[in-house]
Amino acid sequence: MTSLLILFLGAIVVLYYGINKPEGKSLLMTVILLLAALSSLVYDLLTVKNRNVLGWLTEYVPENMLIWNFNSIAFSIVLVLAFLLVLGLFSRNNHIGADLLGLMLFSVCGGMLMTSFSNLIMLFLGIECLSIPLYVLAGSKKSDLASNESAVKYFLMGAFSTAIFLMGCAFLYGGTGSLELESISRATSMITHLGIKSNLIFSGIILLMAGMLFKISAFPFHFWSPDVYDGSPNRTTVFMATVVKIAAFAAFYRLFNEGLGDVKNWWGVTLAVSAGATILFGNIAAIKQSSFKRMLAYSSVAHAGYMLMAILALPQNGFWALLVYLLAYTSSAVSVFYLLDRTSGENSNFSFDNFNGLGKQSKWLSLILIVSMFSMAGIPMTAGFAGKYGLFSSIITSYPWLLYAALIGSAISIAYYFRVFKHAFFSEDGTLVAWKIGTMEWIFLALSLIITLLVGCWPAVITLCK
Amino acid sequence: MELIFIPIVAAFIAAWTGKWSRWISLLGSIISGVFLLYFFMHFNPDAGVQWQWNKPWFSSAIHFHSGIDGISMVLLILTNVLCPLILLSAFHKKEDNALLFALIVGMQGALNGVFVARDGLMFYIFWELALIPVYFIAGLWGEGNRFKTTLRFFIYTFIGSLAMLASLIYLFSKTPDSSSFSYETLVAVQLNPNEAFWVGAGLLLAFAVKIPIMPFHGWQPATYTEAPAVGSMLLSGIMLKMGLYGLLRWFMPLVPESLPTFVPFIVGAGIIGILYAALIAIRQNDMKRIVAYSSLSHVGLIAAGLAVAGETGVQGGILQMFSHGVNAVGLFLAIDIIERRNQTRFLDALGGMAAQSRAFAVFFLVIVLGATAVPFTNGFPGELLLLKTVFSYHPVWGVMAGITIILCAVYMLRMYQFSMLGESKGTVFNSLSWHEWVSLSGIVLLIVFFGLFPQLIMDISAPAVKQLLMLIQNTKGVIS
Repeated sequence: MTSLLILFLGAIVVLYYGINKPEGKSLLMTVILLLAALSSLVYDLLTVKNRNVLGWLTEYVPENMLIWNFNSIAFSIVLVLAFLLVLGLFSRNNHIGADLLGLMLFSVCGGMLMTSFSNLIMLFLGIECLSIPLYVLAGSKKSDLASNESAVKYFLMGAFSTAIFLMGCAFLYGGTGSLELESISRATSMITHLGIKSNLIFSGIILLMAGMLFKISAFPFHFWSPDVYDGSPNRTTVFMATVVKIAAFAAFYRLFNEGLGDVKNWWGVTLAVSAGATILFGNIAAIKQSSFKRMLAYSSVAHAGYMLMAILALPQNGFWALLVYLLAYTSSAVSVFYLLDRTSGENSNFSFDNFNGLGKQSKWLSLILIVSMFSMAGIPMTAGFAGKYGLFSSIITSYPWLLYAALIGSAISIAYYFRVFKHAFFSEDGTLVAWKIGTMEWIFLALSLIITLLVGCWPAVITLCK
Repeated sequence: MELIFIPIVAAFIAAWTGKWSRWISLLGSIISGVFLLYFFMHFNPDAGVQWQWNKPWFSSAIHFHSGIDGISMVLLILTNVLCPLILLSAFHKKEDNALLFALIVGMQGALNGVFVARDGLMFYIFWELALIPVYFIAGLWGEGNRFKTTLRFFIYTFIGSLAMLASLIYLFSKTPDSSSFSYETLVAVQLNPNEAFWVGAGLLLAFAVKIPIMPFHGWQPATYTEAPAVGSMLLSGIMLKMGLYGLLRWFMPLVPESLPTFVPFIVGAGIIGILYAALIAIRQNDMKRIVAYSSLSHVGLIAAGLAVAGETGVQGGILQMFSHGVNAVGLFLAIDIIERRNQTRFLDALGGMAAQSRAFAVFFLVIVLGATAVPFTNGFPGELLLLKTVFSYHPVWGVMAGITIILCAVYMLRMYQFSMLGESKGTVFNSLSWHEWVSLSGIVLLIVFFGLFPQLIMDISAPAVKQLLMLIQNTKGVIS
C-alpha cells in the first residue's frame, strides 16, 4: 500500500513540476520515487506473513478492494523493476515535456492496482488508470502521423475491450452475487461441487477472457498490437511491451487462476486454443517482417501466447513460471529495444539494416544483443530458457498438444531472432555510427544483462524469497 | 565439474584479451586435459560412475549432477585430446581472432558437460550450449553463403533439441511425484507402448539430426564444407559423437520399450546412409565435401551397430567413435593445411605435393589409411566389430554395410592420389610450421597407437557397457 501511495502522490508532483520543462530533474525525481517504491515493496515481501499462494483465503482480509499477499507483491516488484529499466535506458530525450513521466507514473499506479486487486471494480479501475495515460503516450510524438494513428487505434480498441470486460464483470456479478474475488472463487467452487451449469457465470467468464485477451494482445484479439507498437515512440512501445504486459498478465493470472481456477473446465480449452494460435501466429507473422520493431511487436504477441500457458497451469507451478518468464522477457526486451532505439538514430526507420556492423562497434553491446536474443529464443543459460522450461513443464500433462504448438513456435522463432545476427556480425558493410553511452545506461544495461544471465544460470535464485 | 568450468572460464577470459587469447585458451584447454589425466589415473573401470558431483541447481528437481563412467571416459579423452590439437591447428590466426579461440575452448567445456551429465535437464542444457560456439565459429569465419547454412544447421538441430526437451519433461512428469530429472529415476520410468513411441521419437529426432542419420542429414554437407577448418573439426570430430553418445546413453536406456520399433529404422537408415553418402563422396571435387560425406557414411555404420544393442556392437561403436573423431580431425586438418598453401582445396587444381613435402605426404597417408580402416590403424578394429554386429543382425544389411569398406577406399585413395601424387599443377607447399607438426604428429600417433592397441579403449568402457546393456535388457524383460 505504501508503495502505491508513494507512486501516486509522486506522480502528481512530477506531472505539475514537469509541464513545459525538459526531463532532467523530473527524471531524477521519478527514479528516486521508483527506488523508494521498490524498497517499500521488497520490505513488504520480506515481512509478508503467510507465504502460501492462496494466503488471501486465510489470513489476508482484503481492505480497500486491494490485497497485498505474496503474489501481488512479487508481481508489483517486477512491474516497478521493469519501469525502472525502461526509464534508465530511454532517458536521453531531453525535449520539453517532462509531464510524460508523470503520465507513465500514473500508468504504473494503474498497473499496481491490477496486480493487487481483490475486487473486480478495482481491477477495472486499474485497467482504466493504466490505459488512459497510455493513449496519450502513444500519440506523444505529435508531428508523426504513425504515432497519431496508433494513439487513435489504441484508444478505440482499448475502450472497446474495456467495455467487453465490464460487461463480463456485470454477468459474473449476476451469477455469483459478488464482485469480490474471494466470494467469486467460493461461489464458483460451490457451483462445481453441486454440478450446476450457470450460463450467466459462463458468459461472464468468456467476456472477461475476451477483455483480458485484448489487453495482452492474444489471438484472436491481437491485430491492434503490431500497428500500435510500430507507430508509438520507442519508449512508449517498450513501456507497453513490458510494464503493461506484466500488469495485464498478473491481473489475468490472479483473476483466472486464483479466482476462477475451480471452473477451469469451462474456460481451459478455449484459453489453450487461443494460446496455441497466438504462439503460432505471432511466430509465423514475425518471420516476414523487414522492420525490426515490427518483428519485435509480433514476437511480443508470441510471448504473450507462451505466458498464457501459466494461466492454464496449477497455481503453484503457474505463478513461478509466469514470474520467471515475465522477468526474462522484460530484461531482454528492454535491452533489445534500447539497441533498436539507438541504432535507428533520429529517424523512424527500424529495418534490420540498422544493425549492420554492430559487432565491430562494441564487444559489450554485441554480448548484450546475443544474450537478449538467446533469452527471447529460449536458449539455455539465459532467463528465457528458465521461463520456457517452467511453462512447458507446468502444462505438459494437462495440455500436451499445446506444448507441441509451443515447441514448433520456438523452433520458428530462431529464424527471425537470429536474423539480426546476420546484420550485426556476419555482414561486411558496417554503416553504424557509434553513439555515446552514458553511465546510467551502462548501469541499467548491465542490470538487465545480469538479470538475464543470473536467472538463466540459477533460476532457484527467484524462489529463494519463498 | 572441473572439466566443465575451467574451459568455460578460460573462454570468457580469452574473449576479452585480444592477442593473448590463443595462449589463454590453450592453457585452459590443457589444464582441463590435465585434470582428466588425473581422473584417468585414478579411474577404476569396474566401479561404475565415479567423481560424482551432485548439487541442486535449477530447483530441487534439477540437479547439477556430473559423473564419469567408462563410456563417458572414452569420449572425454577424445574431447580433451582433440580440443588442444584443434586449437593448435588454428594457431596461425593471430590477429582479430581472439573470439575464435575463446569459442573453441568454450566448446570444449560444453562438450565435457554433455559427456559427464547425469541429469536429464543438465544434459539438455549442455547439449544446447555446445551448439552456440560452433554456430558462431561457422557463421563468423565461414565462407560462401554462411549465414543461410549456419541458420539451417541451427534450426535443424534446435528442432531436434526441442523434441528432446519435450520428451525429457514428459518422462520427468512420470517420475514419482515429478521429483527428479536424475538419470536413474528417468531410466526407472515405465511407459506404455504409445507413450514410449512418442517419447522415443522425440529423443531419437534430436540424436538423429545431430549424428546425422540419413533422412535428417540435410544440414550436414553444406555446414561442413562452408565452416572454417576448426569448425568442421569440432563438428565432425566431437559434436557428431554427442549424437551417438546420446543414442547410447539416453535414448536406449530411457525408452527401451520403443526399441523394437525404432531399431530397424536406425539400422536401415544408417546403412542406406552409408551407401548413399559413399556414392556421393566418390564424385566430389571439393576435398572437404568428400570428408563430409565420408563422415556421414561412417556414422551411419556406428549408429546401426549401437542400435543393435549387443556388447560387440556397442563396444565397436565406442571404439569407432573415438577413431572416427581422431581421423576426421586429421583429415580436416590436412585439408586445411593444403588449402592454406594453395588457396584451393579442389582436386582438379591440386597434385604433386608429395614430392614437395615428404613429411606431410606421410602424415596425410597415415590419416587417409586410418579413415579407410586399414589393419593396424585405429579405424580397423571398430569397423570390424561393427560389421560383425550388423551382419549378425541381418546378413543382407551386413553385406550392404560391408561394401562401404570398398567404397571408402575408393574415395579416400582417390582424394589422396589426386591431391598428393601425379604432376604438380603449379601447387606449392611450404614446409610445415611447428604447431602443424605438433598437431599432425599427435593425430598420427593416436591413429597408429590405437590401431595397435585398441584393447586399451575397450577395457575402459567394457564394464560400463555391460552395465548399460543390462539396464536395457532388464527393462525390456519387465515389459515382456
